[in-house]
Amino acid sequence: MNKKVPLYGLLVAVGSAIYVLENFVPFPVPVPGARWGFSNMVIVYALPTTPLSWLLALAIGKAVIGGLLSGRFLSPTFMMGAAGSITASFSMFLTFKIFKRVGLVFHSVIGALINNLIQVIIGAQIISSWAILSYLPYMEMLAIFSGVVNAVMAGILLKRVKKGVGLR
Amino acid sequence: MRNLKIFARTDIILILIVTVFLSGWLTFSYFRPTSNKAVILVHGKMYKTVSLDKDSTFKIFWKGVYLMTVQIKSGAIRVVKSTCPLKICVHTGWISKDGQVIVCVPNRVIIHTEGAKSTSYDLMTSQ
Repeated sequence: MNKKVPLYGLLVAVGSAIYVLENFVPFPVPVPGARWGFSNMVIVYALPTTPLSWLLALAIGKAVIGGLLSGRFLSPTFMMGAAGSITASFSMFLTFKIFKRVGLVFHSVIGALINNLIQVIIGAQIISSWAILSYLPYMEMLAIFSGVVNAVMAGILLKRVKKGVGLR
Repeated sequence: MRNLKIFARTDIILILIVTVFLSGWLTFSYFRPTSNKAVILVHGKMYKTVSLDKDSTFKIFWKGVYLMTVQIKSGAIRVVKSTCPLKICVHTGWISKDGQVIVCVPNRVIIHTEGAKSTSYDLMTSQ
């Protein structure tokens, strides 16, 4: 416990920083509030060694702090991002428990696909029109990309810090 | 801690399956019929239904406040100017196919195209 708090605090800080920086990367699909989801990288990084409660704490922590820093707290963007990364970390935890012979990319891509699906569904609720679902295939294409990027970055980091003060 | 793999064969299979499915979906939606009508909703209420056959440019007001300028040209509709901060509606560009949508959350405007299906079938058979 006393070791976990600073470690996950650090991960929340890194996640929030990525969350804020991500706002400068243009998102090519015109769905309001949709984002790349690169800040889920810290959740992928924590995934192999973390219980569900701490994963969810990471997801909520980076959404709240990132939201406060970027001035989007409680806006539609914040709602979509928070709901997306909470369900994504939940589903990544499930696939990590169920599928034992797959790589990190599998969990990350599943998480990103679900993240963007939830974003579109929440977006449709916010604007109260399901017409936005026509952008779902584009969103999921980008989800594959960001999922692979997250997994590769987190995986390289996990391999490098194996002997350091990392998560194990 | 089991041995960590970044890429496994299953991962590539998953990515391939999802990509094939999505490309199929995109190809399918690319060939949707073109619409001849656009419906504009402001604050969730019907604001105006416009025909896409006539070129025009008009402004949308809500309770006397200017929200955006909309342009119709050769069967497509777009938002030219808007008062919202992120301009997602402007960047959406032209829409003309059935079921496409332009959304502006800050101004609470939704523009979606609607096709009279009989018309597009007639066009297809007559050409």
